[in-house]
Amino acid sequence: MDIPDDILAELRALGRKVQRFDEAGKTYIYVEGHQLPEGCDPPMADVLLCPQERDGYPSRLFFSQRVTSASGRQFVHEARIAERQWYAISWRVDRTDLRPAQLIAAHLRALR
Amino acid sequence: MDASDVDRQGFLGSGFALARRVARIGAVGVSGGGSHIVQQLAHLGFDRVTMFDADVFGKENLHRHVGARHADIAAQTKKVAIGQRVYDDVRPNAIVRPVDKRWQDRADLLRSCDLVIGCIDTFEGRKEIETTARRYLIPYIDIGMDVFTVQGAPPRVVGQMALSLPGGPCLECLSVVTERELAQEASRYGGKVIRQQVVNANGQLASAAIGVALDVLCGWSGDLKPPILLQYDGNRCTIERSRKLNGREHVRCPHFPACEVGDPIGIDL
Amino acid sequence: MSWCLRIPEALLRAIRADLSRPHAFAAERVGFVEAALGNKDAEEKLILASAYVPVPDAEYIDDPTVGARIGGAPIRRAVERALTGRTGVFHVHAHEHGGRPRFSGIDLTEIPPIVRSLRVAGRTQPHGALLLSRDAAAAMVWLPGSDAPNISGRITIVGRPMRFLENASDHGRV
Repeated sequence: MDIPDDILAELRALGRKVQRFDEAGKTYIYVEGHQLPEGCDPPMADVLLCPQERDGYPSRLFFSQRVTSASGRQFVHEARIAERQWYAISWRVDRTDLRPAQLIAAHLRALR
Repeated sequence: MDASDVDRQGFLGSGFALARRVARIGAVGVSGGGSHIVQQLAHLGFDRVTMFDADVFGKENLHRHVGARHADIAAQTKKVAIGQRVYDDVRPNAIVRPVDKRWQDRADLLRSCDLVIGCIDTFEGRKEIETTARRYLIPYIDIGMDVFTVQGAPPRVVGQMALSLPGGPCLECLSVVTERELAQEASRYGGKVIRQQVVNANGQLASAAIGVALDVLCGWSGDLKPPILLQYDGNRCTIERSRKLNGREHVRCPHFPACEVGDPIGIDL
Repeated sequence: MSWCLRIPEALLRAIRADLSRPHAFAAERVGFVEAALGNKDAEEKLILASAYVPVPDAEYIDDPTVGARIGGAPIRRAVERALTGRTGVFHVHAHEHGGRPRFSGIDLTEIPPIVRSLRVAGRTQPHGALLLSRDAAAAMVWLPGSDAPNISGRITIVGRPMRFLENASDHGRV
């Protein structure tokens, strides 16, 4: 995955560290310390974006821990990726034209 | 271990004698099919076994958990404790680690295994074990069964036993775990599906898994050639080479490249 | 602290095939095995071999006093791999006999400086040396943070059948 500089800049602005992980045929973008929407507890978490189809979703966003949010959505999914446990809500973003940072933001809307 | 014990299984060769002494076997899920796995490992004489199962034994398990006792229901015995008991009764000097947690909570112990046999209910669970097994170069043997209702006909009892050997085709290559099944599981929002099981089917599949494990560990027969995917027909009581292997004998797995081994290290972006 | 080096059987075959090729003047061939650290927080660390990098024929130096002498280029490339921090690197060569191989006096003189360079470049990964005989193997492993080689380990050939070796003894045959 070659990522253009402007898209990289958008990602780097999201957290302390941005990395790519490849595993089992899928690529993930990891953001360490991503600010979560207002009302979330905790206010910040590591997130892991799978920008390709996974588990029947066009893309998925995983969180390093279960988060309580204003939306009240439950973290019903748990997955092990890159030797860590990750948690996700059931939230579908059908857009496939978004840049990775936009895709993360679209997923985070589920917590508003 | 005395000479007579070794001699009765001597046809398995010197590779077996060494493997059962030094190989570290992991068993994930020790109820149902997993209980047969534990029992057979004990009788075969494997000295180093780690069992993973977070569950407590209940009445609903009695029909299929070999080694369990009726008293385990009221006692709420942990499933791994039953496995430990089976082992203690057969091989009291073996080094057995009963882990009453999900394997993910003690992944360090799974990684230390030389070979892992999984008997679990979910496709996501299978994929997760296999992913860790591939990352740490561990052969993984998976078994599973299901009972399907067929309108106007008797139920169909089916199952499979798959070997996922590092470098060889994976469960996805073998169509044991597919995106469709993972999607269906995800759509149940984590709700558990109660799969029907029966002890004889579990036993047949588990015995096949042990047979393949022996072949992987010591290659005694020379007859089994990977890829290995067996399909079980519980109605006809047969286990045979799966038709899914046709045309896939020389598949190079694209999902687990050789470079993706070791503790994960992200690429800085 | 101990270690377990796991080598896929197909990789071992490729290593052997390369090391057994005759060279115009070198009595032995050498190469480099890439292997990553696993289970780093466990008492027994895992070392997981993933690739083999042969030394091209032209990069050997004609020195009849040793079995094989290589130039700086293959070592520099090995150090560059170690610099990525994503893999450890192991010097590998073979002795043509059966049974447990032993590092020779020349091996123990020549190999540690190479490993020192690898360790400086890649401090978070294991580095060392692997020695094959026709049917067995032995390794010296410098685990991250250790200045001395560690021989308290085991080597597992991952294939069908698997082979289990104790590094400090000759229980098994590869």
